[in-house]
Amino acid sequence: MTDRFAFAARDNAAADKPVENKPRWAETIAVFSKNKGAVIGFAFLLLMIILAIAGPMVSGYTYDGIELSRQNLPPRIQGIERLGIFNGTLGDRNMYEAKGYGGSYFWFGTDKLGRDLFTRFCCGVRISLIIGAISALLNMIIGVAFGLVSGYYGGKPDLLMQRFIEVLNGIPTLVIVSLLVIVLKPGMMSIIITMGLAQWTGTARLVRANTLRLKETEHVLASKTLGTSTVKILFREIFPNLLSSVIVIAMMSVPGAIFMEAFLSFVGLGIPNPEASLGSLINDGYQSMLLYPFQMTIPAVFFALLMLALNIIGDGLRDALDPTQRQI
Amino acid sequence: MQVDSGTILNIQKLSVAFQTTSGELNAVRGVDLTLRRGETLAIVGESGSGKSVTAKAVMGLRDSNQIIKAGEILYDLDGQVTDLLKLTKKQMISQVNGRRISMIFQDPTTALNPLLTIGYQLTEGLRIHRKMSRKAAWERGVELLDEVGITQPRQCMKRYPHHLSGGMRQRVVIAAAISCDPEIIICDEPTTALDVTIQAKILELIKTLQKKMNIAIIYITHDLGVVAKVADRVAVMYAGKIVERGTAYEIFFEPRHPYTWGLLLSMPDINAADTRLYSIPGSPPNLLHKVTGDAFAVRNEYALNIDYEEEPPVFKLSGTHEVASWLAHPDAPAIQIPELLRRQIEAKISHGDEQ
Amino acid sequence: MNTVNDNILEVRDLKQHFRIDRRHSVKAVDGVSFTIKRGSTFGLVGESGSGKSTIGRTVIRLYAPTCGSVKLNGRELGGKLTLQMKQYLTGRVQMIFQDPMASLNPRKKIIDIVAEGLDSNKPRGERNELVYAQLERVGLSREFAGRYPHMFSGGQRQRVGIARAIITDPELIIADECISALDMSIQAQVVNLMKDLQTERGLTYLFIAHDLSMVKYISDYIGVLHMGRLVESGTKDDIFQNPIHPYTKSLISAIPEPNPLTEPHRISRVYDAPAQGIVYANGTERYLTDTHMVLATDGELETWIA
Repeated sequence: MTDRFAFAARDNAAADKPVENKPRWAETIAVFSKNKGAVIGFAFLLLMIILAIAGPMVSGYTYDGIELSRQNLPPRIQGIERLGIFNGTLGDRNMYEAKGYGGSYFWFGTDKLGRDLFTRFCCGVRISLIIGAISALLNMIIGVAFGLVSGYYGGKPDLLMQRFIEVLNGIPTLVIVSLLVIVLKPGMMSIIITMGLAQWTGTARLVRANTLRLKETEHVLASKTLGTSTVKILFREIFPNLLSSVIVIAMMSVPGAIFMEAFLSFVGLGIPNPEASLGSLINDGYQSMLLYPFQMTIPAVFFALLMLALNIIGDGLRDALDPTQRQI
Repeated sequence: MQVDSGTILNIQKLSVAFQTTSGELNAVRGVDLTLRRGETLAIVGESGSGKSVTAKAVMGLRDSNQIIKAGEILYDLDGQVTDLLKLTKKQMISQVNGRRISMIFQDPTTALNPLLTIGYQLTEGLRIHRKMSRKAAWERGVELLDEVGITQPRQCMKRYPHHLSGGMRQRVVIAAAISCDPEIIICDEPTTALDVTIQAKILELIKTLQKKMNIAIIYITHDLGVVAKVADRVAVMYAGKIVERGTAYEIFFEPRHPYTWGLLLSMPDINAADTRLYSIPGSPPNLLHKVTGDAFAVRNEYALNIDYEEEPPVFKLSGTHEVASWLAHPDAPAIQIPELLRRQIEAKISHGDEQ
Repeated sequence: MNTVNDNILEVRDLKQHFRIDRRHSVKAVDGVSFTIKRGSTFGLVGESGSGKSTIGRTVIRLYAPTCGSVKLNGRELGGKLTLQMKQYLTGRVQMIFQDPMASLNPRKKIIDIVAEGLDSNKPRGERNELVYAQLERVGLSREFAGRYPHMFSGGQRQRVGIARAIITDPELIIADECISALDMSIQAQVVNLMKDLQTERGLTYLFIAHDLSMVKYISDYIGVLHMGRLVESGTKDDIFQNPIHPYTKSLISAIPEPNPLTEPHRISRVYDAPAQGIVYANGTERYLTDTHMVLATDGELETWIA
């Protein structure tokens, strides 16, 4: 086997291959899916979204159908009722049979006007999620625009813009939000607008700080020396590189917005009847908490779980998107 | 294990991998190293060759995604030969780190805590490991600063790291490293972050201290000029393996591995006229993939067919000189050192003889 | 060819002061003059904080100079820059950066990074062909164009940076520490590539570095910068065969030689301006020969030459 010791044919092209790494998105997904909490949270969020979309269709009831003869029925679910829970009994009485609804099933029970609470719950989730998502988007758009301009131009404009943010921050959010909602009349649109207006300052500051850092990086300097226009530098060089941190902070602001809406509903400034949000459902249930605890407990538990899920997803996303956290 | 009298550290078949999102990265693939008392062993290699990972394994600095796949690091701990890899983090900190083996990092800025005074950081080891009183430790700290060439050591003790220049900071780091009279110091590119004029001074300082205190040093660098200045013995690493080792004289003047040739040739020769620099073609291999045969084969213009099939064993050339290349096999075609390198070596030797 | 055209860049008494607050400012560059001949390489050496990067960035107008004149092909670039002059500058001067990681936008494909300097109105096909040609010129295959920077090693990225700089066909390239973050064997690759490009296209380099050994290899002229002032400048031979200024001497003596016979015994020279009583503000530029300049007072020059 002497030819094994002959010189090998030289193939120079083979010598200069790029390092094969996974694409960034695949790596992000890989890191995210390693985080069990985040995956469970994500699954829960998906479930809630499906409920919000499809729930009212499968329940067979409407969210505003009033029927006083079936008021305050406890939860009753097919199948599970045999286990002794969710069987429609309050104390020892089966309320469904007592009120003449022996064949009906209200999964989450009914409220004091006889509306199906499951359908109302699904609509509530829908409205809460919409409020959370749109206000986060609004927050992101205003915050990014403000932060980019302030950070990139620096100097006098930056000084003025930062003072403006400080003045805004000086007024308690709750005061702004309550006042705005009163002025704009309660309703989903006005809640979204106020939420967007109240929350963007944090995003703007984060974006500004990142912009200050990024505008000194060599790839931005390189763009400047190549004569690239400022707008292009802002949106091609700087914005994509701070997108991940913006996504994370926007994600984190969703539960804040939902929470704020719930708070407003709770003090009576939220979504007006007959529409429902998670907050207004909890508020309604709270009024008859001692007699019919299920009316408050169910939305409250789901509300808490949703908050938890959103926060855990936010954490998972930060770990997955933030390159400083990534290993090698 | 056979430990001859002079050996104080013996690394056997060390393999280290990292669990990454793109798979397992085999950073160190079977490294054997011995370190003798009072000598300087330089580990040379490019970034990603595994030289820093090897050193960190000795220090017990384990990343969360790091896996020690095989091997042992034998060290004489109070008369008992111990495998450092088997010690817990706590045992490492209380018995080994700082006290017997200490490390000097590349960046002196991050090696010092910006919120604590120089004095506090310098005397910390003395108080913990040597159980010195606060006052005695302080006095010793002043002596140490004096020893590493800091003027006005007493004032310096009260200062914070940001008051000092980069070179001064590195001197403080060195003072802290020698504070507990360690047997071994691991220097991980200690001068790369410093200015050239300061770099030379720091190297000279490390050498003087070493001689005085009889410390063994593992010196990690990619700069062959630095190696020539400090090293007694040299190990050349490529893709997680030691491809050639020997005394500094053997590595610089009788190199046998084509990679060592390439490294030596890619140094600009300050004394020679304008010749084109030699550069090793291509890039280092990606250690996420399995390496078959010789990892250097694709960049090696002297590659043999067997290099693509089978990993080269270690061939012993002399008592101190070893090379892992099929070219050293008796059946391999005889290869001379490249002409350009031969001339450079001759020039260097005659230059050395003159002095 | 007349003398004006012979010098591609003339820098006269350039000062760059950065204001920290109302009372304090940092004199990063404090009165530096040099000229660069067309087709040559001018190496600017100095330690960190000496102002060498600032000079490079001021020439390409990332910073507006505090005062002094910068002339490109005889046209004044100092003072306020008109849009027309700005375009003239971008078309002719390009830069290669230090950090191969940070100098490429991680969110852009190689093809878009390299094509950035091209006129955006160029048809797509023509643009792509140009990019492929540059990539192949720097030794990267065209298949790499669709990938993102993180898939490449440091040396490959630096070559992408070079492709980006040469695509606009510049006359002067400022290489700001462009090899100091690379491994030794990769440094040689990049430096060889730069030299080849110089012979092919007649490029002029302003090569900024802290390490004299590579500067000696690549440069025709060398300027030694310390604390914002050019303390010595001249041809490569002036600086290496006949260094005058003690700072230059200490820089040269600090280069470790890869020779285990001599290097362990060599002691490098110390340079400490205040201790040796050297105040740069007192010195004036003195020419020993046409090319060799030293910043010194009469007395200093005498003792240094002696």
